[in-house]
Amino acid sequence: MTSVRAAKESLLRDAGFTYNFDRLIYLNRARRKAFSIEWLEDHSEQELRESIAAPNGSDKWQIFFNEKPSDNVLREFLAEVG
Amino acid sequence: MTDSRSVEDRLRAEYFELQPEIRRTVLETETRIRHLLLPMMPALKRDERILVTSRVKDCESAVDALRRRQELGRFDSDEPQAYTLTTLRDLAGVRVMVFPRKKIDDVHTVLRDILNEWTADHIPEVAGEAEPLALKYFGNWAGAGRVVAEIQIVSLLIGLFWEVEHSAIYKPDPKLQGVARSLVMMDRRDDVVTTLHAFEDEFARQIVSAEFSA
Repeated sequence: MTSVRAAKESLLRDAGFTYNFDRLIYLNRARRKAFSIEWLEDHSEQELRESIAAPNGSDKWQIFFNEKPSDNVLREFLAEVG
Repeated sequence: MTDSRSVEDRLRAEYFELQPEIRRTVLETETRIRHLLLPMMPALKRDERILVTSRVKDCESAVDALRRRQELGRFDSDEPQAYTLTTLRDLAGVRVMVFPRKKIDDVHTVLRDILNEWTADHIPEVAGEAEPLALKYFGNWAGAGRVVAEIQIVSLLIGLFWEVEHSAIYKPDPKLQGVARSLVMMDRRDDVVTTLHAFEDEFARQIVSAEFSA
């Protein structure tokens, strides 16, 4: 039986997301989209599926957090991921 | 004069200010627990174990644990005063490891006098199990100042697995703890827990059936 976590990991991998263990986040540079571990733990497989599928209508990063980090930390992260 | 130190350096300085207090807290916690458990020890059967271990969280682990709690795993360098190691609940830690796990209830009852005053924050069990994986409490002793201590009561096999996991995998570089938070690694850890529980339960069954057949 596939666990919920394994199902989410599989959704993320199939959609080209990789895990950054230093930042505790799954990200896809081509799609400019990222999901924090906390967000993934608190949201269902269906919500994840919909969030992956939702188009990113801009060239800005779309990041799914439970709690938004400070602008400073966010800026540093964006500079790191490009 | 402005403080030009990084957040990490400020936290390291705070750690060494707190260190004597952390050591005292560990010693006091361990001593109180051993004292309460002492009457249980002579009554243990030959297959039963109660081990008490303690540790002072080291400086880099403490700084890194606080960093990992922040979104995106970073401190905001513009807000250095927003962080303090005293928000960590396990600077001082004591773990009581019990075999077989059904004895956890007995240990819990014996320690209840001190645990009633503390806050419960149990570690949830893996899917399919009703009881928490480990009983966990945090709090501080009167006069202990800012240091919060943690007491865990856990099955011996799970506690020893955590020790091996920690020392072999994360200790070389605390940042590797982020690997353990990945979704699939959490599943693999649950698999280990399920297997250890099955092993332990079968061992307990064998002991009981041996006692009956003796």
